[in-house]
Amino acid sequence: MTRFLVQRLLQSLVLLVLVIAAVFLIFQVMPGDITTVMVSPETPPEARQAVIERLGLDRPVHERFAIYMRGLVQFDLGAAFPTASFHGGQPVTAIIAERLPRTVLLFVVVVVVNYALGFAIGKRIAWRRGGIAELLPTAIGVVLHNVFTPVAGLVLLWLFALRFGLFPFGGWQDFTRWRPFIERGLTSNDVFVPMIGTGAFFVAWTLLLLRSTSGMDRPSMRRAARAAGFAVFVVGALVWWQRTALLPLALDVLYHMTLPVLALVLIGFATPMLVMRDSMLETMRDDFVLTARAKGLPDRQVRDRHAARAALLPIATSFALAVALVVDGAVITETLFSWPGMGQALLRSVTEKNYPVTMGVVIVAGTTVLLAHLIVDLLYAAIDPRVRHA
Amino acid sequence: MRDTHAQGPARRLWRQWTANWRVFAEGRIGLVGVALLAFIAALALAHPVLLATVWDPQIYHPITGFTRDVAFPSPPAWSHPLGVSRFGRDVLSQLMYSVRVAFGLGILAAAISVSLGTVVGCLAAFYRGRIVDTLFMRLANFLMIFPTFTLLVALSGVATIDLLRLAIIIGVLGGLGGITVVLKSRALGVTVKPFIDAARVAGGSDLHLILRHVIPNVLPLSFLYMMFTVTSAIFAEAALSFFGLLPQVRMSLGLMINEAYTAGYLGGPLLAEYWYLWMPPGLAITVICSAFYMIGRGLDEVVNPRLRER
Repeated sequence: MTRFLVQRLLQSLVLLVLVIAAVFLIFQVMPGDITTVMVSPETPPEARQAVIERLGLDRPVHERFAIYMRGLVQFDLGAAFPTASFHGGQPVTAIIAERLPRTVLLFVVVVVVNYALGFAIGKRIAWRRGGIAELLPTAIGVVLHNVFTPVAGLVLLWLFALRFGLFPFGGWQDFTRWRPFIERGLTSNDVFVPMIGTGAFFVAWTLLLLRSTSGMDRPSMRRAARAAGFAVFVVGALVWWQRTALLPLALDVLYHMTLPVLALVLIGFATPMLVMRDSMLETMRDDFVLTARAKGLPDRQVRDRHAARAALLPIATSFALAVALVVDGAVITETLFSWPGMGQALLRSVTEKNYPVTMGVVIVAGTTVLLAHLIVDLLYAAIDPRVRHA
Repeated sequence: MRDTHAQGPARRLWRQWTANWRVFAEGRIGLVGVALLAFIAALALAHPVLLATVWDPQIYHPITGFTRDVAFPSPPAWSHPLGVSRFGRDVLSQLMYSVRVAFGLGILAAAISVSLGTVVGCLAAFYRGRIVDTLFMRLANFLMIFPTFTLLVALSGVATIDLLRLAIIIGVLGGLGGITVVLKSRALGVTVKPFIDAARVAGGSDLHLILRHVIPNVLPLSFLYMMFTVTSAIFAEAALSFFGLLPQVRMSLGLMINEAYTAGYLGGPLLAEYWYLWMPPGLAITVICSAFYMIGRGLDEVVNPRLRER
């Protein structure tokens, strides 16, 4: 196991360096040089030359890459150019540190909801193979899955924000509510990071609750126990947030999140649903399901405790990789809903030719994916001995 | 003599084809996809015919034509069944043209990715454990997980990407990535079959074995992945064009929505009034992608016997 671990870690490290090198090289082939963006056209040539030398742009590529890598290991991704959406000279790592939690909160919530929903629907439609109860959700899911994201977002914004006035028209905060806190030095991460923590705790709590109550045979008792557990969580979370005095801000963020989450769930739930359906169809043919039936277990128990549990592995892998791809999915949605996260930073930095920011976001996106892949592999190795001895 | 010899494989192929079609049709969802695809293809094919016969290119050309009779934009009327765009172009004509663009892009990207993936996957499986295998599988594992859309957005900032280049980029990224992995695992199952050894003993060269025995046996799976690549290519182009990141593309479904969005008809209260500017291209993306996706699902049942009812 140790050997597998070391081997896998080294592989990931090599891949990471390759990713960074690839990103670095892509940005070397761009037309013109950076000074045309950074320095105004009136600058005298000597001053321009001074900037070029100060930034090391006159050195060969491999030296510049070494400089970039040296900065990177010290968490220094360079500084942003002065463009419309970014302050010139602001460290790229600071921009990312400010924006990453916002993207993570929004998209991890979406992925968790999608997979919970997809798992629940997928196992049911597989169980009723061939009927209208399978065909209809599949068809609806496939069509929604292929709705063009911007269209879905714009229609939802128009319908819920303008026609019904239920939700805000994009954005992430009600500034009048935030202003007194911001004047006292509060940053958005002071709210977003605890929110991510609460969310993670909620998922862990729910899984624990579902697991510990699944042994109860009477449905009414099971339902009561689950409702009680859920209520305990809600009250506990509310009390904790009330003590930090940030509750109104957290609720404000939740209120602003609702529409983008709704849009992304409508579009996204079909993928895990179909993965679960296919995985279920395969395990349903296995002998142990027949055994469970032959023992005379109720249909629901055969489905939930025997077939669905064995069908969990593919959907768990797919879940981990979906979490890893949050930045990839963020570009469209964050721009539509004016959510100032990583995706919006990527798009704006690309249109404003703010290369340091673009490079930083792409490298973070690539690193996240590599990391998630590593975690999935290690979990697989822990579960399945065939992997680590292969 | 020669005739009967040729008829054997042909008839076997036909029988296989009809058997597969029956499985495909049984799933029903694939049939819906085929019907949708036929409708869309008819739309795309009718466009040049209409431009040559009924429509005056001066007015109806999707990129250069414009009409003087009505204000821009204007809602559907007899002369312009889906209305007129902000620049005075007929929306129906733009739509039919863009559908053809989407088809071309999707199918080209899919063809590139699937032929690359099939060849590399089969080579890696056939020469497993050797340097070809190690090299390409490392690359595939890397490309498979790379956030593609992020990369495309970043690339559009440093290079000019036209439709051909976009198709090649998507095709290569997909083909050397996930598709290689899937096809290698399927091809591994084929290379250990006794008929491969039999063909080798009969004196078949490596090239002959790969071309005539390994690749034909993984082709159905390749075809399945082709459907999914078409969808993702069309979607990527639409999303990039929607943000105006592909200035080389002069007309596409994403660009139609982009035109209306940047003019302010979509992000606000005007959305319902100007439905004819976004709904036709939006629906077209959904219908095309759904059609290919559904055909893919139908093929899945043919390719994976474990998904079938019996």
